[in-house]
Amino acid sequence: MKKLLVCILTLALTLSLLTACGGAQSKPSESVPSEAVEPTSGEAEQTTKTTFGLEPFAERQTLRIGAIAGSQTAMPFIVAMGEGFFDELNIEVEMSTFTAGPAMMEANADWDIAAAGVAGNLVGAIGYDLPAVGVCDRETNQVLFVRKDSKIAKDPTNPELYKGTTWLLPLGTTAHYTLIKQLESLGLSMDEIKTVNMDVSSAYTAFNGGEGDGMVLFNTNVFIAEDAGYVRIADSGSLNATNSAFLTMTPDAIENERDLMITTWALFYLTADWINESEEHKSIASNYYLEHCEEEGIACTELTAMRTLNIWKCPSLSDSIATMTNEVDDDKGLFTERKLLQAESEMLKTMDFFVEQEKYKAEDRVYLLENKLVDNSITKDAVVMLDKLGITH
Amino acid sequence: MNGKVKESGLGLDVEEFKRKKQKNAYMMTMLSVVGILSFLLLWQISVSMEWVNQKFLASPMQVLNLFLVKLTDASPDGNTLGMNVLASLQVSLTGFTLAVCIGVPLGLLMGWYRGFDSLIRPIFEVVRPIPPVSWIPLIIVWLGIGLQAKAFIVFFSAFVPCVINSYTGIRQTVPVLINVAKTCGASNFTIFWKIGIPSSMTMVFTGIKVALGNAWSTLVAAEMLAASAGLGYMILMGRQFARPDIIILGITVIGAIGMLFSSLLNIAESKVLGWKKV
Repeated sequence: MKKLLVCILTLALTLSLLTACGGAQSKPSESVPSEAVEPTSGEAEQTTKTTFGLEPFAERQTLRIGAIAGSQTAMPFIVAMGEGFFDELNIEVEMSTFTAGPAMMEANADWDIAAAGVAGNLVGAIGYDLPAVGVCDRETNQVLFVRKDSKIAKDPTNPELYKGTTWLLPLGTTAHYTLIKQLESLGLSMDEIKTVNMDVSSAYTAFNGGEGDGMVLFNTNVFIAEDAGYVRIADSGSLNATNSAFLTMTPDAIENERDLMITTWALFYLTADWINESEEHKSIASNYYLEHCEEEGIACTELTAMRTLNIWKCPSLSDSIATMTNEVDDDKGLFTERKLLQAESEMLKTMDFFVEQEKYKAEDRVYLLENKLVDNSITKDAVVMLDKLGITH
Repeated sequence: MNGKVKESGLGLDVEEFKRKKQKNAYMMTMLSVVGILSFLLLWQISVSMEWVNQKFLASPMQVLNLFLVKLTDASPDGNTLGMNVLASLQVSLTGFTLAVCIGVPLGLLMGWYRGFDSLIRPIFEVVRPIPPVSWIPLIIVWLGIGLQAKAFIVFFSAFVPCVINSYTGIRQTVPVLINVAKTCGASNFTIFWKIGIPSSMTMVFTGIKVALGNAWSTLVAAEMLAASAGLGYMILMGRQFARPDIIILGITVIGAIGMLFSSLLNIAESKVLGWKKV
């Protein structure tokens, strides 16, 4: 009986080892390209087969994307995955999602390209030397909410009503930036209110439970709060506090996977243009976004997804190229060694605020600029590639 | 005799023995100090020689410098170090004290009274493996975001070892002692009070020490719930603004305070359980 048992167990072990070894041979990155495209060396033939005319890779590539769960900043990635735009270029996508930008930047070993809000981009650039390579959203959806019966709801411009109130929000983020902009517009400072650091979903839960006098939310939470009857008293759009969100790449990917990064950069903005091309495409995109939210456990409905899509302001391909190549003066006049890229200027708008708040140091600003942590080399190479392929931009 | 007490029968020199013991203790202390200094030196060298990127790991000197700066400077988290320490002490000590006050008696009662054990144990066994952090969504709804909510998370992490160790400690009471007390006519409660509890104290103190460690280690999670001050909050803000020096300072201060409280507990233990060393 014992011998029989030993034989069975040995057989099971051997089979499991064989299965495991067999599995290792078929890594996703080496899988067969999709049937839709048969990459060959003939460029002209290939370019006609892909949606945007981009050239598919001869060998299957693996692209690792980092995204904030439920954030619209990664919308083109979500849509490109759903519509098979990556697949037709012979690119296998592995998407890792995170709850916040700083955490995603810490985990930069797990992705090649990521889309995050500017607070995350700053952590990536200053803390981990991760360059921003393009603007992926111009966010105006950081919103201040109070309850219907709040005095502030009745008179949101009365500064006296804000004094001593408690606000729930994720500190050190664009929500924080928006709150301070609102206070500044009323002649107040952060010292005159109380803040409690919470992530947006916890802030919403706590506010629902009667905590705090106000909250600052972003992403789909904004629409959920609106639908729940909370009163929007200000937002980053109305306060002229637009925050540019950026695509970030790892230096390793830029150096060792350059062609993949250039193609991905171009595909991101071509997909953004595709989404904005028609109402039908917007509807398709909102469905993919809804699916993404459901997969990630983010509360979302069809209506919320469409509303998110409507506030998503990713620049077009031509605007992106302009943003990454146009040169402007430093608004503060602090950096005189060279002109700034428009994208750098957009990033500094938020960063300068954090420097004023003593969250970042003035040296960090210099570090960002001296080390060119807004990198337009990928944009320039993408332009060359698009010209070569005859794709208008 | 020259001040020495010789026990000729055993050939032991008590003074010599004491001196050797002291010397040994001194050597052990010095070894600990050398160990810490060597660690700090290696850390400093590895950062200074750029074996490790300074952006990812601040040097001990940088942390020390930041410690001095943070005593008066509130940036970037908006609080001085003292304010953060006080806020964390409030949270951790509230949770820890509650855990000891509730957990130890509960464990002792469960260990002594079979009926009580049968009543409570199934619930405790279900609740025990739940990670304290997983309570956060419910805690926000039940207790809000104030001190009580954060203290609850700390309480939960500290409560479990208090119960388990007290339970195990009292179950290990030597049966001979119990039988002697019974023979002398002591009531069950008297035996529990005068034999069970004292004999369980070693395990109870071990549980309290584990609970203290858990209380401090859960602090960051508790302050992730909601906070505007505290060492955990300071660490989170260090993360938010890419400041590893702030993170390391927070970690170091938590470790130092934890060690201080652990030493205080050791002193309390040796006072309370001094009789056991006889």
